[in-house]
Amino acid sequence: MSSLLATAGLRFLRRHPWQTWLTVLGVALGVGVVIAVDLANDSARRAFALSMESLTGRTTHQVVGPPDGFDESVYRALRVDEGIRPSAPVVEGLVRVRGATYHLLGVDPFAERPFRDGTGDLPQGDFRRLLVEPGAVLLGEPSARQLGVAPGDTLAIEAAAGHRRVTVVGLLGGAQAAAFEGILVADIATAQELLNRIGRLDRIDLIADAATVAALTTRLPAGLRVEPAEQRQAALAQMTEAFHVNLQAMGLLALLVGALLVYNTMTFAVLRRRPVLGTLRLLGVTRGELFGRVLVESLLLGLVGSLLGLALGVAVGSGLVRLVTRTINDLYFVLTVTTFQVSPALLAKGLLLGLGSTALAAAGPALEAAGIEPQAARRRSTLERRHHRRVPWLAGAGALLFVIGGALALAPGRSLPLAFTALFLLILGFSLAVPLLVLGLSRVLLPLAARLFGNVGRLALRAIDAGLSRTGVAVAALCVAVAATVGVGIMVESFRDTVARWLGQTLRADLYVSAAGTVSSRTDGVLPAGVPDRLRTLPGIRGLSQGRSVQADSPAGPVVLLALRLGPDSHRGFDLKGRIADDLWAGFGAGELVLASEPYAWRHRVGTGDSVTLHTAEGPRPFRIGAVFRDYGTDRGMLVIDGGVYARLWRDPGISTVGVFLDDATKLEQTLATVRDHLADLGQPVLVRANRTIREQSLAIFDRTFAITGVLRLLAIGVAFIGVLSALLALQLERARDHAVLRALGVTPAQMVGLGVLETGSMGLFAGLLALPLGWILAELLIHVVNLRSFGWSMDSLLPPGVLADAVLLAVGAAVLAGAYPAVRMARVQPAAALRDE
Amino acid sequence: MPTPPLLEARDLALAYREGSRVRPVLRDVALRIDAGECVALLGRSGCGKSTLLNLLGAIDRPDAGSVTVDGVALGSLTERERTLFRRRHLGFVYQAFNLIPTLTAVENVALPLELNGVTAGEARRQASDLLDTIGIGARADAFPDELSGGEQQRVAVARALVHRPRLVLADEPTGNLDAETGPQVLDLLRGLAAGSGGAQLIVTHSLAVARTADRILTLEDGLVREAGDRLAW
Repeated sequence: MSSLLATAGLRFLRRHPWQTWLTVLGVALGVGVVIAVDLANDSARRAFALSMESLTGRTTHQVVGPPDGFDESVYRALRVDEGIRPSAPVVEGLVRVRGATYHLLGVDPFAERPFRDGTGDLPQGDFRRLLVEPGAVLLGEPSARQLGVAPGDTLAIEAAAGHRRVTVVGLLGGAQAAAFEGILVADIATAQELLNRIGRLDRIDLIADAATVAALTTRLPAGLRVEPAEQRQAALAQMTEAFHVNLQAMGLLALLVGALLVYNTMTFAVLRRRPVLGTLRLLGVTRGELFGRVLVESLLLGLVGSLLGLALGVAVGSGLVRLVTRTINDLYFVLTVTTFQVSPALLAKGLLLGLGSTALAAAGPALEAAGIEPQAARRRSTLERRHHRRVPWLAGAGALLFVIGGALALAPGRSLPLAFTALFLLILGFSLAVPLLVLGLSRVLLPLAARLFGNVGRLALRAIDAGLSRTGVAVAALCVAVAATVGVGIMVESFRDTVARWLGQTLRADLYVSAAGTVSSRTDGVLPAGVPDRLRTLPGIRGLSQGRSVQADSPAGPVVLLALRLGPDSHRGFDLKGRIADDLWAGFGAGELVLASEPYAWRHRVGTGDSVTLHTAEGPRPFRIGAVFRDYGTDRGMLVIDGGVYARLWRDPGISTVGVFLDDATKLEQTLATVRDHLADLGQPVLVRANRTIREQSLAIFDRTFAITGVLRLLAIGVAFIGVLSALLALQLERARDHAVLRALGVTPAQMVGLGVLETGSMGLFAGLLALPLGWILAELLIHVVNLRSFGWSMDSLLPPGVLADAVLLAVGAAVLAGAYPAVRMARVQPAAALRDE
Repeated sequence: MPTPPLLEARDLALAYREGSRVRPVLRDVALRIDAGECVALLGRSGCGKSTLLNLLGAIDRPDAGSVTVDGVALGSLTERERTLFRRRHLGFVYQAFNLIPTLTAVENVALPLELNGVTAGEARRQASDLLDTIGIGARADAFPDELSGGEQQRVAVARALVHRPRLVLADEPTGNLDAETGPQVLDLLRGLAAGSGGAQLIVTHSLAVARTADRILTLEDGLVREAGDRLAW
């Protein structure tokens, strides 16, 4: 391509710095959001992988048993009697250090060497101290830095055994330092003491071949089994996958809005330069050369935008990773992420996405440029007439995409990517129809605007109609962003409402006593024995329910098992769905039937009447599903079994939670105080909480989970805001002569501002109104397809008027705000100068 | 043996569709221009002069008839070939100057040379020399919006002729210029064209401008005629 052609193009961009930088910013924001989300997801995944590596190391298999572990004599038998040397006992649990949750990994330093890098390579001195000093622990270097401790310092920790002090005798550093983030390593005896698990082991790690494993399987005591190590890791990793995919989709939505912005700007650039491009065609520049020139210019903006986006993404990502980690900690498992690595592959992906979306968005305007006839300076009105003729065709294509998207959304299946494809087709289809809808709205509302605002109203709406080639795209960009807000808003509100109602139904007891877990959202600790008996002696107690929440094992991986001894009203706390087995509660009490939560049924593709196998202390045992119930406590899925049956089959008499039913609910506060006093001398901290407190805490976790969604929504709105500002500046530049004529005819600067605000306000109103149906459709898809396929949750949809009103206000507000500067510029136009320039 | 004409049009016809109505603009137009000749096409506003110029300049296609320039039948060329033909063999001057606003005067003039494969440095040197020749070398680095109307049209003329095209087509080249500048630009156009050996067709509605040409044609009611002594404007 001629260097002069390139020079001319670059100078055009430089002469319109606002336009150019807004486009760059649009791409930057779009790419930035995607990169930020990816970085946060990647960091969380990498931290998870490292944490798994540090916990399992080179282990090939693990001997595992019931949820509360097994006797440590099994290890001795394995090593001495069976002669399996590469074996290492592990006891693990959670402890709190200065408000943060850490993994406590109890290991046998003598057996460690073949298993875990880091722990196996300890200096002899640290090694000995770990064994001989009571309360000695090793800490990963990053965690030590974060806590500001050095070898020799003591740390106050909160563990199952209560508040204790431990001494940091060494740091786990070197190449594996990152793998030990959030992990405390102690000698097995120390860990057993801290975790209140004297004489118990959680697992025995093995490095063994298939023959050894096969032989061992037949000789293990009842209730123990050998599992491949990666099976557990895979099951854990899979848990958060839908969560990561959902975040990625939000990031891509921001990029889509950014692409609309590029399309808008480049279309403007082509239309504005139409006479110049016509002259170039006259001078012998071919269609291909013009196409290439516009594309290269766009890609240049895309490149600058993408590079800025990468920087922005890295900056935002470091903040976002905290939100992602918090959600994972709230909902899935404890994860510490302090290492934030930006991989070249991720940067390349961001660059490709930015350039790719720019190229796609610019292809239309580039084709437009290539199609320019050499008859040069056509009048703008001719162009708009051509564009107006194209509008129904665009809407037709949009309708087709919309129908395909709808069909994909309604098609039965489980594919999440397909659900998101449907979502994007619906958005794209709708946005293609937006110009036609804007045309219709501006014409329908013209008489009203004329009556309310006279000629200014008429001029404002006709300006939207006359500049449809750009006003249409600007409204579409804003509409998509606001619709995303509406859709996600309705989904979150519906979800929150469903969860609130579910909590009301599920939490039947008036107050709950539970073991003080090391993670607030979990109640998998064990209450001291005798708590129920003590509670029964108190006056005003109508009854008790008892629950034990454990992670049980099944051939399909770990599963949350809730063992319930039902209280007076407890069975009414289940919102049962679909078919219910005959004599459900009798079968439940007899241990024949279990209840499966909705996510469990979805993930494992089972329903009422199907059989599930669980590893009990007596070996694998099948249970029949008696009913499926709604549960929003965990998307991993949960099975509920009778408490008595569980205690017998798993040989675990422990209780995690006691629900207390009062004779008189109005005496709640009084009873809370009495219960706290009554349980104060147990020697182990317990939580006594009112039903209402748990509900509030659960909803607080819910709100925290969706905080990240709010951040992404704001970013998408930011991109759309820039889109509208960019389009309005473009229109204002282009109409400088019209505005000068109006000023010359005697329109005052104040009236010019009014005209500008009315025009942009109308565009915002159109975007807001059009966003409502699109947003509602998106919400239905998110609620009934995406959420179901991601987490297995079904929920009832709401149409909260607040969300809808907010959306329209947001759209009008964003548009008016974006239009403020162009409106002031319109008012300041000097008629003489503008007319002379033309 | 007679010399073949540089430009020959035969039986050209073109009509515009306006809704359901068809409005004929050109009917059976025939004309020829020889190498080195300067011909003026005179006609009232809206009579189809620019339309005819577009057909002769390989910009538009006729409904019927043929145009041959320097032995090349334009009708047989593809869109891309017509574009490259314009690039190599034609020069254009317009009433509205049509300079590229983001290129300086010298860059505007160098553009046709670069498009024809001349290196950037050489193109700039030739363009600069030409601007010196026409007396606006001092304004070489000015952008079009920094130039007066007369200066812009001089640059446009230089751009139309810098690559020594076989045919220059000028559409109302003095329409935007004052009484003093207009004739100067015409002189420049004639002078530079004579040096390059190419032909010129100047479309105008001004009799004064037409009279500077070697020969005058008129366009009326879609037909082209030799004006001879019948000029009545």
